[in-house]
Amino acid sequence: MTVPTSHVFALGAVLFAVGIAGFLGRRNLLVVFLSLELLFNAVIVTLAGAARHHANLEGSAFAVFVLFLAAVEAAVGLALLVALFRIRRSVDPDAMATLKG
Amino acid sequence: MANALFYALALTTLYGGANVVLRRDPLVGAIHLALALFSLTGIYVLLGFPLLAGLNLLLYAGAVLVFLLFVILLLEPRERTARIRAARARLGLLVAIVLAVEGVALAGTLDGGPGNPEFHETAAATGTLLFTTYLLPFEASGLLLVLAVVAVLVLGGRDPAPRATAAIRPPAEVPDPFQSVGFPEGRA
Amino acid sequence: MGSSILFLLPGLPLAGSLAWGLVHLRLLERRARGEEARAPERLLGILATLAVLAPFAITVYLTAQWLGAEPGERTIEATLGSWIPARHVSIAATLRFDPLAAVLLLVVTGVGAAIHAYSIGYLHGDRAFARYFSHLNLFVAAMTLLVLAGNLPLLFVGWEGVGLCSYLLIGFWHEKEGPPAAGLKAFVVNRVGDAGFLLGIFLLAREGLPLDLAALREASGGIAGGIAAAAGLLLLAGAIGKSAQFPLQVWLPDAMAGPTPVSALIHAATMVTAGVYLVVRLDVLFLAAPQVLALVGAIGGATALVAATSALAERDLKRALAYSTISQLGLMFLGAGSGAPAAAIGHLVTHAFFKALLFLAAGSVIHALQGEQDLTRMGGLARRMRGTFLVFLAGAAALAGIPPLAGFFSKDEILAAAFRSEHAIVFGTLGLATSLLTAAYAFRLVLLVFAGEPRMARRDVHESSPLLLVPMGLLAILSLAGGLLVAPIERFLPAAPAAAHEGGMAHGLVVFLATGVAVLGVFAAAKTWRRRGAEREADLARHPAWRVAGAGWFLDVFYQRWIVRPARALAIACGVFDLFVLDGAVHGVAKGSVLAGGTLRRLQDGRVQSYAAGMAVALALLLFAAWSLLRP
Repeated sequence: MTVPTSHVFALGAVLFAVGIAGFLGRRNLLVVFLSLELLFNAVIVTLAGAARHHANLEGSAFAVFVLFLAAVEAAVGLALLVALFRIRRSVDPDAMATLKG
Repeated sequence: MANALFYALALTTLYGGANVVLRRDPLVGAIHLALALFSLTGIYVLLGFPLLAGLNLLLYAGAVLVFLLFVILLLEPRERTARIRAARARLGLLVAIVLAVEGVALAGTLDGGPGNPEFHETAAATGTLLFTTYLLPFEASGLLLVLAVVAVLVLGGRDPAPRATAAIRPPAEVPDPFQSVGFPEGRA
Repeated sequence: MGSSILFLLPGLPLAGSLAWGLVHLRLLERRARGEEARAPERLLGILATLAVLAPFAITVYLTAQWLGAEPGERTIEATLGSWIPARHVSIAATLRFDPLAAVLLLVVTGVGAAIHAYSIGYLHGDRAFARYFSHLNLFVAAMTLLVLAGNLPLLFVGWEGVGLCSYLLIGFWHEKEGPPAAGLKAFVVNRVGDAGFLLGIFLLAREGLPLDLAALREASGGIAGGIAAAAGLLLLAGAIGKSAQFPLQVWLPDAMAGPTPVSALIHAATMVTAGVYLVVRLDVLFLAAPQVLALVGAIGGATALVAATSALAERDLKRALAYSTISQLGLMFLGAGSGAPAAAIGHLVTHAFFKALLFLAAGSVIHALQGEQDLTRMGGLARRMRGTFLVFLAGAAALAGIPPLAGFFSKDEILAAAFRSEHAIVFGTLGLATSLLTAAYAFRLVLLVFAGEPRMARRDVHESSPLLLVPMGLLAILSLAGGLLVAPIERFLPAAPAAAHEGGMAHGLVVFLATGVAVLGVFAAAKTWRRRGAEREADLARHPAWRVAGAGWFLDVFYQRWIVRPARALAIACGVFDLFVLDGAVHGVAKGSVLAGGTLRRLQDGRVQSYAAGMAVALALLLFAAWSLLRP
């Protein structure tokens, strides 16, 4: 497959941008979470492209680690979200602004 | 041929991602995220990373996405305000556009070649790497996963209802669990 | 007993001052607790007087020992050690007792003791009795130090000390409005002179000249004229300030706001004479700069005449006496400037006698009239206050220079010296004119206070207590007979190295003129004020010349307008600047910080997405930087 690496990187970049748009813009924490997953995946794609570009196996190992971390993050984050929901009865991020000021 | 497939999968990935961000119902968004994940799996294969693709499918699409779906279905949240008209959404959009442009431009500074198109990753090779050179990070991430499990249990666990414990009366006499067993170190 | 006995001379009054100060503090404590506390007046007053009388006795004893000695042997010196052991100018704490010092000390401690005794009666019942004697003793200690100092810096310490005590005592009744301001005025005007004094010391030190008085005397012959003139001028400034000569005389009339014994002691007999003492001490230095010496005489003569006119026109009894003091001090300066420092000292002594007497008697009158000080509201007291009348008359006659009273002899010496000096005509005329006016105003006082019909509101005036009369009587005797002391004192003091040239007017002629002028003045006064004194005063007051004289020739007004007011405006401006600009800057920094903090705080809205947005923007910037670096 002779797709230029720059195209792979471009895909990663755009995917990342999409994830940012959702992360910053949505008022539903769950959608924010989904966007977060997009961000992670953008990173993994970029890593994979780079590994192929430099014929570097370590790149894929790193990508695997990122995957692990994404899983961990999703688990803990969702648990937190559920706990928060029990208290606040809302998934609006603006409702969790008690650290204001 | 493989190149064309790559671009097709890239498009579906982006379509899935866009819908995650744009749809009002998070459930729909989650499904589209699944679409994106599957497309990415394909891309990994095309790039020559079968292990990564497999793990993506198992872990990400399999575990994380399912977890997400559970939570979405459990909480049934509703988003109260309109999506695009909010100022912050516009800011997010603006930033995203800028980032996209910059990222693509940055990507364009590369030489334009495919790098090493014959490069292949194998499970064995990566596994060897993980269990030799990067053993410590690997074990550490395992530990991290265990911690995550504990954390989720603690965070998600429910407090025992006070009425429930009050109803239970302790037995009049506590049986000595070690009496019947001849452990030498049972009693002082 | 060794020479260290000298340290008792300032030491005893100093100890007394500390003691009474502690007593007063104790009294204040007890009053703060609500107890009614009074000072033990008799005991404290007697002890305080003894603290001055003892040094008097010691001085008498030491002086008596000299009567058989040679002139060159008449010095006792005592050093307490090195005071300022600096490398280039080493100053020791040396006290030196020589004939000049002895004369002054006798006056200070003798008249001082008498006034202390008088004060016991005068200050009877005052709540700050102890504080008064603490200040008064401190004054005597400082004055003693001044006179005994062996070098200029130590003298300056005493100089400042008496200035301080003057301030404290003028403003003694600080609850009233006038005294504190008057005290401050005295201090500030003195300060102007003191600045000159210090600069003079610095100049001498810079030129490598010794600051020790004896050494300076010896070295004075060899000083370049310019340096001597400059130093002399600067030190003269100090003397002018302390002795209330032109242009620094404005503080003395106001200083009358203090208790009358204070006026008698400090502003007649002792502190104001410190300037004369300084000039006489440094006579050799001034001789090295003849123009400065002439200036001394000129200032003295001019001040004497001007002040005499003011004394003639002044309606307040004490202020009139204050102007008289300024005038007589001017005569002393005139004598020194004529090359006869011994004559100046002679007059210093006699003036101490009769001026202190006049002040004490004035105090007696004011006390009897319950605070009345306006001459036009007195009169006819000769019958009711016989004793006071007689002593006052004695003092006035001495002041006027009527022979054979003390004032006549000393004034005569000065006039003779004036007519013998280089500027005989000017100095002599000034002296004679002043004597004429002096006699006139002296008897004007006598007549307005004691003669004629009583003009005051109260009719129950009675003579003062013996406690007041006895000291006055002593001084009266000295005023009457003190003339006998003048010649011996002059012989006692070391002669000025370059005596004024012989020639000039014959001594007999001077005597004749002096007496004539005195008699003339008395007659003129008698004619004018003997009957219907108050109407005379009113008539005269309409004369513009009279009004100018009475206002001190508007010097005070001039200072108020051109110096005090601008200074105050400057002070206010500085205050405003300090408050708004400096404080404002400090507050501004604080307010700025708070403002900045408040503004920055708004960035922290507690929303994750805002923080993430910030990160994203930063990321965008980083990417841009990377791209601009990496693009081909």
